[in-house]
Amino acid sequence: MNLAIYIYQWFGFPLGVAIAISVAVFFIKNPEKFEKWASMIAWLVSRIYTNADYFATKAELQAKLNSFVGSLESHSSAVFPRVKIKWKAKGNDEVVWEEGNAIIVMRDRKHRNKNLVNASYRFTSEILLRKASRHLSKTQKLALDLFATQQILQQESRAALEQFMSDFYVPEIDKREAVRGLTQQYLKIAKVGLFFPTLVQELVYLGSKVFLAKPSQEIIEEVKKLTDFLEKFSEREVGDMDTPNTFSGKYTRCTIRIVASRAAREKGDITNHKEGINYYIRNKIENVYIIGSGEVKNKKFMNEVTSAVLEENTVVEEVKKYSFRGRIKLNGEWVSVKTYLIHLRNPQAIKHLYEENDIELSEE
Amino acid sequence: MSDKEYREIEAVHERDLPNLLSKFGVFEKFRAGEMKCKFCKEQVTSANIHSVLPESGAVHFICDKPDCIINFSEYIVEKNKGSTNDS
Repeated sequence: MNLAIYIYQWFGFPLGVAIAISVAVFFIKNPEKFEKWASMIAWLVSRIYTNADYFATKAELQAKLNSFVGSLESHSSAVFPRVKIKWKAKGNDEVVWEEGNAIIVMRDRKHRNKNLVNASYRFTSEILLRKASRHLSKTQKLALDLFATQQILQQESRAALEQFMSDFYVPEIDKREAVRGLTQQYLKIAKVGLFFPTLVQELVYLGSKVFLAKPSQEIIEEVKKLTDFLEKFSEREVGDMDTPNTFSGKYTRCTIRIVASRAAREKGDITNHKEGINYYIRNKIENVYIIGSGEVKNKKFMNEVTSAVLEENTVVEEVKKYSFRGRIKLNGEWVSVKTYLIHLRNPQAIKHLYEENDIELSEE
Repeated sequence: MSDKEYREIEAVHERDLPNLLSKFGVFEKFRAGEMKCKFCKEQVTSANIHSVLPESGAVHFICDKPDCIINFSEYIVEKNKGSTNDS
């Protein structure tokens, strides 16, 4: 006891300062976490002071939606916009007519889940996936919006998720068979961890392309094929060499290279993988996703393969590498595994502007 | 932090709805139950209102039915960027 008092007397103040600085630095680096805490406190205060719910609602929605974007960016190469809630007509604030600017109605503390559901769907469909859904059909866009909103709520609020599923998602799926089918595909792709890192990523790249001749139906068909390809790939058994690992469309060209062979790794033989990836690069594949076990030895081997590829193809860029929890199918059983993914992008293969002639040529 | 892109969602607290609608000059009609949903054409009240859209000199209302929210989202996206047609 005496020792504790002695430590406090000598180190109490500097220790307190150090803790305060650490907490401040943590919150500066993680503003969403600060907003989450701040909103929790504000909800408590709002029991006594009703107007605190303005801050609580705004901070809660921003924290949850932006926190999802943060986790998304750590698992994909795309950069997504974040959200700010702006109150309109608050108290005596002046109201300005802003043509075409939709104003969403937020409820009081009893309807926090409803507020989150409405804000999440609006955020997903109009902000988060704006670029990704640029060339999609209405059905594809709706399925993508609903699935992504479900993913946000699954991560951020189970209670709001239940409300979204019962009031929104399930009735829509029941009414629209095509949305149900796409949802089933997304679910399979998400199970192995490739929904945002690969499918949405490819759609974001597709959304950056400009089609002067606007071959809308062709793109919609291509997105269907890309989704089918990723679904089949997600369903493959470990060791299956027959399922295609490359998607080569007219506007989207990507490949998924699995680097997980124990024999090659133990021999330290990178040649086969390196040449395989070089082949895709030569054949104008835009994105190469190198995927494998996230165990230390395999990550090291994957990094060696990547370094060798980058050395031989100086124009190719390593966009991102990251670890995540994926799933593999082993003897018919799904197993959760540490997964490592490296995304390489080949800028020489990318075409941003498509004219009518380009499309005709590519059809030949 | 500064390199992150932020987009705004405008929101009105239900307590401020009368203030907003008064400033837009439609509160009395709203209170009288005369405002209809832009999509399903059913009556919009303080219990089922989802959004307000000031557009082309008029104030449009959107109710909280999932179909209307989806239609509204499609409408906003198409209006802002144009879209492709479904097969």
